[in-house]
Formats: sequence, structure tokens, C-alpha cells
Amino acid sequence: MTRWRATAALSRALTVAGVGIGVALVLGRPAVVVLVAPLVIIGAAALMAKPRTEPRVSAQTSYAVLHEGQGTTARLRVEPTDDVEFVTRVCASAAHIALKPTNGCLGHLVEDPVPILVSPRRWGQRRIGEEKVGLFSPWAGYRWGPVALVGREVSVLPASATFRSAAAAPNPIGLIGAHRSRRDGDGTEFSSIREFHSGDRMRRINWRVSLRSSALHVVSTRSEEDTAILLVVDALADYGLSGGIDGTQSSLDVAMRAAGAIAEQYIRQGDRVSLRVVSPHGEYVGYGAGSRHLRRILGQLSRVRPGVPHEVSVDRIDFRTAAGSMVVVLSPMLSEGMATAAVRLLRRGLPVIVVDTLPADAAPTVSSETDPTIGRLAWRMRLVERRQVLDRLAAAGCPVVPWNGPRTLDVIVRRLARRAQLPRAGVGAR
Amino acid sequence: MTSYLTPGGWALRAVIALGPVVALLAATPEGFAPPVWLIVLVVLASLGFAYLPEQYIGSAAMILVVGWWSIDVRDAMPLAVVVASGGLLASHVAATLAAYGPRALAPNRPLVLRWLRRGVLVWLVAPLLWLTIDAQRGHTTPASYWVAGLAVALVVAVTAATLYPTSLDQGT
Repeated sequence: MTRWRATAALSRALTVAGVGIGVALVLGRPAVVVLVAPLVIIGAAALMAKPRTEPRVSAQTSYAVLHEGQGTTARLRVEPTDDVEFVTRVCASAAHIALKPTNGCLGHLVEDPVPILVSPRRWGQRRIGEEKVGLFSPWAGYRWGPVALVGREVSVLPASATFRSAAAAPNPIGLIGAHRSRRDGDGTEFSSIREFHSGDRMRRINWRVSLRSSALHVVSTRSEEDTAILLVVDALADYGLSGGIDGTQSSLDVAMRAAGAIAEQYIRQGDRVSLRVVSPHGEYVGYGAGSRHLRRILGQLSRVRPGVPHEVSVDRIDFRTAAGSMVVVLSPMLSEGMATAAVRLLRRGLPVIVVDTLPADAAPTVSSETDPTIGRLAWRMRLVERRQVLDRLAAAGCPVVPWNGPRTLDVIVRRLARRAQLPRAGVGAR
Repeated sequence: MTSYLTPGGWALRAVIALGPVVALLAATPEGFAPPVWLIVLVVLASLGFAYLPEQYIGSAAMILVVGWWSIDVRDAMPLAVVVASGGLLASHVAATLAAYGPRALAPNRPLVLRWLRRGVLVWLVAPLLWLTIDAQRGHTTPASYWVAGLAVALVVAVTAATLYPTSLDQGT
């Protein structure tokens, strides 16, 4: 347990004053009295302000959930403040945490508290507010601490740029939503003009055509339905260096931000989104819609730690896809297993899009014992293999697009939707 | 160390280093010049003090100055002692401010202003004492009378502060 201790300033004032007064007394030197008189007063004032209470300090942060790039304040509560004049705080520096003041050192008078501003720069679970605190009594005679305060675990959600996609989903199967369905129903998109059936609404009758054909005709429309999206995030490894929200991006940074952006976009349209992360913990969120579901997805993304699943091989993972789902695989495609999994989903008849998350300047981390030339050569060979995998995926009908921001999927989804509208040739018995 | 010092930190270190040197050399115009070896010693101790303001090397630098004043100036009462007193006080206050936190901590402006006010008020005691002692010169009251009075006051203050029981001392 920490307690108040005399400072070096008090010791110095008393030592110099004591020596000066002693010498002046013994040798009869009035000039020395004048010389040390101010230190005598400072020392006496510091002694008179000796603390009599035991302070309690606690750190507080404003938010437990933040998006990367957002900021919060780390405040310090000191009670009681009777014997405290000055507070010194030194925040621990941590990876991907920006502080203001930048060096994490802050001092303020106890009656004029100043918070430390904290801003996580990368998604994940971050501990913020870890700091050491020292308190000083009036006249700096006594110091309490420094004591270490444990920070608070904060979920840092991936940043996602909001956008509205104009592309219709390829396979809408739900009850109500924003995507044009292949079926006729109560929507706004024109489908055809057909003869009146019982149950048709009167306001749908097209009188001009009905008069010409001597039979009642109605305008039929396509129904509008929601769709289901499965996001598969490859977190087997992280390639490239991460500089946080405003720096370079690693492959996992790209995957997390892309997954967050896609999930947000489709959930805001009223679609159902599911998440499956290929990682040791296998984070999974079932199909759902709404802002709470979006928060759940972003929360799972923030907990992802890269690694290979221990219990099941990648190409045997059950993705629990719903019928008619559109699958978006976010992967650097450096694992054969992920490519196999994508093809497996494709063969089930699901539209699959692969978003390539490998940054252009990504390079593997090689140990210092490895010859850099060999490391570079191995990486080039790996990239050649990756190119072949991507080509094979494209040939199998699985479009591969690099992530270029929120509108990346628009063109591909539109093309898939058009393909889904085309009549299919039956392969039944003749 | 230097790379982490803020401009305010540099200013404090400069005052810490200069204070004892000014206190030592203040009486030179009035004919009290310290020996070169002592100047060198005080400069070195002052630089050490500026480097480690929270350590006891500052006391050494100040005691060297006080020692020289008591040995060389003897019972003379030059006006420069008021300047020297200000030098020691400035060095002490700057070191106190610098020791409030790690080197990277920028001096807190309200605290600096508060200590500036304190320093000026406390320093005013020096010219007042000088005037009082100077006015008493030639009278029957010996200089040691004032010394004894101040010493008694100091002892009383220290004893009262040290012996006064606090809740912390009683372990509550």
C-alpha cells in the first residue's frame, strides 16, 4: 500500500536551511541567514501542509465501445482532495492507441482536472486508461504514489464507410425488403400486363388494354423482398503491416473494414446478414437484421484474433448458409482451404463473391535467421500460386474483386442479379 | 533524456543550473570573488542537479554556495546576498517544478504561476531581513541575536510539524 512520502524538494529545503542556519549560528554569519531564509519558509510551509488523509484514485473512461478512429476521455477521480494540490498522470503507451498529450504525460492542479484523450487507431480489443498516478501535497512537501491503475477493456469496432448500394441482390427470398424479386407480387417494378384473376386489386386494372381486348387486364408488378448475406472472413493469418485507421492496411484490416461496411450496408437495407470468421475461435453470428444485429456483428469482428482453426480443417467448415444466400468471402486467398470452401459454396448453387483483401504492398514477416533473398523468392512463388487460385475461382464462376471501398460489390452484385434473372435451361429427362 | 524534454522542461533545467552559479558569483562585483576550483565544482554540481532535479545532488550544490558565503564573506553584509538568495530560491523552485513528474511532462502553466507567486513572496523575506540586519548594525544588538531568533522559529516549526499527530501516522 502506498502512502505519503517526503519529496526531494522538502529534503533539500530543510537540509540547506538547516546547514545554513547552523553555520550562521555557530560562526555568526548574518548574510547566510538572508541567503537561506526563503528556503526556511518553503520548508516550513511544506511541513505545515503535511497530508492527513489517505486519497483514493480511480480512472474512468467514457465509452466501452468505440469505432477505430473515435476518441474518448480518460478521467481521474481523486477523493478526498483536501491534502492534494497537484496530480501527475503518466499513461502507458500501447500499440494502436493515440493519446493527447501525445507522450501520455499530464499534470494538473487538483481543482482544475484535465482529461487525457484516448483514441484507438485499430479495431480489436484494446485496454485503454492504463496509467500511473502521483499526487503532491501543497508546497510539494509530500508525494503519494505513483500508483498503477488498471485500464479498461474497450471493444474497438472496425470503421465502416456508409454507402447505399443501387444493385439488387441476385437471389431475394425473404418476405419484405428492397430487392426486386423474380416473382410477381405487390411491388412497384413493372412486370407484365395479364388477364384479371380473382384476388387482383381493382386499382391494378389497366382500363385502356381492357377496353381494347374486351377482357379485364391488370398490371402486374414484381414483389420486393429482402435477401440473406453470408460474410465469410478469412482470419487464418494477417499479411502486411497495420498502421491503424490512418496508416497502411494489413489484409485483416481490409477484411474487417470491408466486412463491417458490407454488413452495415445490407442491414440498413433491411436484409439479413450472417457472419462466419475462419479463425481459431470461429466467431459466428447467425442471420439477422436490425441495428442490434449489426452491433453484434461488429462486436464479433472486433474480437477476431488471427490463426488456424484447431478443431476442423478449413475446407470442411460448415458455414450454415441459408437457401438463397449471397456469400461474400473476404480473403487474401493465400490458403488452399479457403479457395476449396468458396468452390464448395458455389457448387451448392449459391452466388459467391470473393473480395481480395491482400494489400498490394503486403509482404510476409520473415525471421531474422532467414535469408531475405530466399524470403522474397518464396513470397513471389506464393503470389504466383495465389494468382492461379484466383484464376481458377473466376473460371468456376466466382467473381474475384479487390476491395476498393464500399462500392466494390455494386457491379458484381448487379451482374449476378442479371444472371439470376435469365431463364434456366432444364436438364430433366427427355 | 534530452529528446524527451519539452521547451518548458529545458527552461526549468536552465534555471536549475544557473541558480547556484548566480548565487556564488553574485558578490563578485562587491569584491568577494570565489576561487576558480569552487566555481567549477558548483557548475558541475549544478549541471548534475539540472540533470537529476529529484535527487540530492541539488543539496550539495547549494551547500557549497552556502559554505563559501559563510567562509569567505564572513560577517560582511553585501547587498548581493539578496541576489544570491534569489538564485538559490529560483533553482530550488525550478527543481521542485521539474520533479513533479517524468522528464516528458510539460510544466503545468497554472502550477508554474502559483510557484512564481510563492517564490516572489518568499524571496521578499530576504531584502526585508537584509534591511533589518543592516539597520541594526552598529547597535548593541549583535547579529547572532537575529540568527538565534530565526533558528528557534525554525526548530519550533519543524518540531510542531513533525510531532503533530495525523490520522495517517496513527494508521487510520
